[in-house]
Order: sequence, then structure tokens, then C-alpha cells
Amino acid sequence: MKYITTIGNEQFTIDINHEGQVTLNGEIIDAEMRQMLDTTMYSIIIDNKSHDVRMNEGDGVYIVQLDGEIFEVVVEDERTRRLAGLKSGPGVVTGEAIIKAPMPGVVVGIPVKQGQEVKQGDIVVILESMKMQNEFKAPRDGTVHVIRVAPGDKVEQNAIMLTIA
Amino acid sequence: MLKKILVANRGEVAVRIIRACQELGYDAVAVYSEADRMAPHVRMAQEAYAIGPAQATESYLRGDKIIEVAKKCGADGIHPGYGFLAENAGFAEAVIAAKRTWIGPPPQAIRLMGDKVAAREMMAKAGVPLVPGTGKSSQMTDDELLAAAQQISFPLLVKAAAGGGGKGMRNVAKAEDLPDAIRTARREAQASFGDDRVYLEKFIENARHIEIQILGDEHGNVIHLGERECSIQRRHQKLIEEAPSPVVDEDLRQKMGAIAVAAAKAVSYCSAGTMEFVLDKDRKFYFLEMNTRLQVEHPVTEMVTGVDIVKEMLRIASGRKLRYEQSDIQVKGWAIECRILAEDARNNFMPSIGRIIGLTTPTGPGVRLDSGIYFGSEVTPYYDSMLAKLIVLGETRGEAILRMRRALEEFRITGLATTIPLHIQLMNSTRFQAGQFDTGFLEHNFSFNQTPNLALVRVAAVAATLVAHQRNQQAILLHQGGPSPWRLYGRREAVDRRLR
Repeated sequence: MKYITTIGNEQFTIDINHEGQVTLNGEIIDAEMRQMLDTTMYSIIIDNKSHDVRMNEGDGVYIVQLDGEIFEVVVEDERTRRLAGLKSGPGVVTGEAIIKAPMPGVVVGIPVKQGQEVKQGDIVVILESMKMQNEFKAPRDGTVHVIRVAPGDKVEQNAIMLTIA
Repeated sequence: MLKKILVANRGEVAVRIIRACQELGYDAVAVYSEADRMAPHVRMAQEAYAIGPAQATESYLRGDKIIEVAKKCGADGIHPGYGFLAENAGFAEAVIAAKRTWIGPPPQAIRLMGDKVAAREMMAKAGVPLVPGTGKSSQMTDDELLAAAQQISFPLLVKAAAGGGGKGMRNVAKAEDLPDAIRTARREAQASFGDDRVYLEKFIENARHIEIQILGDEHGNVIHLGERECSIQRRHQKLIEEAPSPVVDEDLRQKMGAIAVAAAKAVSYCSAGTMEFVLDKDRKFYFLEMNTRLQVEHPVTEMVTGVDIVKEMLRIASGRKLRYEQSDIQVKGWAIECRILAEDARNNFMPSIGRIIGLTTPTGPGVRLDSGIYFGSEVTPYYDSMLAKLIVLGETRGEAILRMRRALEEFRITGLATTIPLHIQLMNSTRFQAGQFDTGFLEHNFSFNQTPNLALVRVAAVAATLVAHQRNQQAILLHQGGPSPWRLYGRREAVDRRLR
């Protein structure tokens, strides 16, 4: 099965065949991974390089902790991509980035408009909760697709506030 | 003589105090809110009492309920930790009135130091240097202010006497700019507060936050345990502390220490306390405030002096003499502490709540972890965001930094955003490594954007894709009704473990 895996602005094509052989961007690699009893913990050895990985999944995004770094990884298989009917060509970052409220709060600002192009790191929503104003940034370059909230709105935890296509 | 100590706190500090009790052979009593039934302090203590709902105002801040528990269980001492009721003089008095030992400074010292204006006056009398200025209550003419400015020296701040929020405030670099600054500040102050009185205060450039740890007993003995460097802050909250400070030499240490000891004696201080100072770029220091309690960052001092501050507090509270004289205190090695907060440094330190679904804690030479979390614990919005404190000791500052980075890389908390990645980048920053920072460093001179190397990014991509692939296969198998390969694998692993 072929996967398109995206981390920030980096994109990888990863193929895993029936024997479990992994091909990364057209190059065969020796990758073996095992899960521990503590289920968010994995040991992976790639071409004899050993890494301890902590990983959890939320909303289709894998949060990968590796050597103190944290990566947000989006994995899409080719079929799902095709079914989603995405028109973009290869090499273009796709899939919608969804900005959710991590906790209940009040929207105090939306400095962007629908259809506006944004760069990774641009502030797209400001939410006040736990007595602090929290800025939400675009996780990657793209276009503001849907804005579901307006300043003054109260939002529940996990409410979708905005999406970037 | 103390036998049973009630710990009126939660989280890592409650755990810290319970450990000290156990080493001294005292029984520890925990109190807990509904949200903390499974918290480490509850499970570690010999006895535990529920005191109310999750909100701190209904539980950990309810002094009356806590004293009631102390009476019921026969605890003869109460340690407040830090935060919550630690600097509440009324609570300290209530504990004493209930014939229990208050493990902290005398209530009158708490009250005096809590009143910042009275504290400054008292400190000035004791010979403690304050930030030079004309004093807030002055009603001075422009000419008097201009004359006073020469004494205070530039740069200085013109501040509105009735002010706040930066209104009516001017930063003045040189004498010729002062008349204009006074005029505009007066106009702004008049417009904002209906009061055009202004006063002058020296502006401390590139200020560092340095504090001195104090220990005093009931017999009038006071010693200091050297300094802590706490300049890595954001929104006035400390993030990294170290002992000693890269800019304090033995001479300055003795000078600051002697003044801190004199100040503590002036208020008949006993127990542990901290005098906070700002240090300017010419290494002149000025009193900021005194914290009349155990401090979050006390472990760095413990690591370099070998003194267990919490156990000393317990001994002092039972009336014993200090076991150390000033000459016994030697600073050896270098300690650094990182506060591990449930906050997303990439998202403006947004607090992060949720369940900890994976936890690997750092260990090994020179590593100490004071933690209030466990695998499966829930981080709620009811309490502050501090999960744990990671402390390391190295022979030199360089070794301590490398050791801290190693320990941070071992530390994995899954399910929440934490400050661990930020701390790693700070350890990598050349200015931090060189000790060249002040209290503005984190907010103005540091950017949290070191990019990880591509090799790591590739590993993350492959790892996540392998898991996604397994999920896909599992979904297919599940559809067919067979056990998943993950489950089979888990069983095999469990069997292997038993056989080993």
C-alpha cells in the first residue's frame, strides 16, 4: 500500500508491500518497528539506526516524539486520497488542516478572512481560556477554507473553529 | 517533638515534603480534592483525607477544613508547601491557635513581607539596597526632580504616582531629555488619572534575577545557602533556574548573602526563605521582595550545597538548632532546573489539558526528578500547569547543560504539549550556554525555531506510516473477525515477559 506522509512542509511517499518491505521516496529501507506493552511506546530500527518513539494519534494526526522533538505527522493512503477527489498534483501538500479548540473558551479574534492565503505560523484564531489569550497559528501554508466561529462566540472543547485547505 | 505531618498541598511539592517526612521517620498525612484521588501524594502518604471538590477555593484553599483534618487525625505539624496557603499569615495563625506546629516562618514575618511598601521600608532600615528613586509619595516640582535625577543617574524611569499599566511612564536615557519627559508624563498622568504627580526610579538595564536562599532557626541563627540564577522567565514566571549564577563570584555571593542574612535577622526570620534581588549589568544589586516560604526552585540549592532544605524546615519547626554554620556551606558543582509545564511553547505557552497516556522519565547519573504526574494522570484546568521539575547536577556548568539536554531527550510525556522541546532548544542556544542572558532574554532575544534535522523527520514519517499501515491491516482483519496482529503481538510480548 502506498502512503503520502506529510510533516509540516515536508512530504514523503512511503510504500509498504505484502512482505512488509518499506520503500521511502523510491528507495528500499530496512525498517522494523515493535510496540511495547505500554502502547504509545515503540522501538524502531531503520537501517540499524535505533530510535525510541512515543506516538499517539488524534484526529488523523500522529504526534511523534523522537529525541525530544515533537512531530505532527499526517498519513494518507493513496486510495483515501483518490476517494477524497483531491485535484492537486503530486508534491503538493493536501488535506485540510483543522484548527480545533483544545479547551472551552471564548473567541476574541479572527485576523483572517475566508479564502485568504496564509503562511505557516500566521495567526488565524485568538481564543481566550483559562484567563489567557491564546493564539492559534496556521500549521502549514494554505488558504483559509472555512471559518466556523466569530469573535464573541463561546466554543466547547474540540469544536472546529477554522480549516485551512 | 513532631511525629505526624499534614501536607497542605498537592502535586510535586506535596510529594517532595512527604519524602522528607519519610526519611525523618514522620508519618505523612495527605489532603486531596475530588480531582486528585489517584494523585501520587495521596498514594504515598500514610493517611489521606478528602477535603472537597476540584476547585482549589473549595479544597486546597480551605484552611478551616485542613485544620479540622489535622485535629481529627492527630497531626502535630502542618507544612503548606508553596502557593495555596503558604503565604497566608491568617492560616499560619489559625494553625498555631489550633496548637499545631506551623512549618514555616512566623506569621508576623509573612505579613510584613507580604506588604510590599512596609517591606521596602523595613529593608531600607536594615541596610538592604533598594532600586534608587525619589519614592512614590513625593510631590516634587520639576526643578526638584531634575536635581534628584543627577543623584539617581541615568537611564531612569519617570512614573506616574497614581499610575499603572505603563500610562504616564517614560524611559529617559540622558539628562537633556528629562524636562520633556517630565512634561509629557505629567500631561498623560493628568489625563489618565486626574493627578499629575510623577516620581523617578532608576531603570535597571539588562537586569538579572538573582535570589539568596536563607535558613534561620528559633534561636536567632541565620545562614544563607548561596544564590540562584532565575533570569530565564516569561510573563514574569521562572522557567529555568540554576545554582550558582554564571555572573556571581565568591565576593559578590558573600556580599549578597551577608545582606540577606542581616535582613532576615531584622525581621526575626526563621525557617526557609528567599530574598529576591535584581542585579544590573554593573553587578549592583537591589532588593525586590522576600518570599516567606519554600520556593519551587529550592532543589538547585540542595544539589550544590548538599543541604536538604525541607528536612531542615521540619527540624527547625520542632525547635532544633540549625545543624550548619555559615562556614559549613560550600557550593560544589553546578545545578540546573527546568520546569516542565503542560504548556505549548509553539503556541504562545497555551495551557494544555488532557490525560497522560505515555510516560518515560529520565534517570541516570546526576538526574533528579520531582514530579506530580504518573502514567494515566489527568491534567485538569483546576490547578497550575506545572507537571514536574527536572534537576541535574554537573561538575561544571557545561556538564550540567549537556546532562540536562540528555535528560530532557529521555523525558517523554505523551498526550499533552509540554515545555520539554523549548527547554532542549534553550540548552542548545549559544547565548544560554555562554551565560549571556537577562530577564528579557526569553521574550526578546530567543526564537523557538531551531529546525530538526531531516534524518529525524524521516524517522518520524516512517514510524507514523508503519502504525497507520498496521491500523489499516487491523481494520481489514477486524472486518473478517480474526484477532488483530497487534493483539496477537501484545499477547506474545506478555508471555515472553512472564517466561523471562
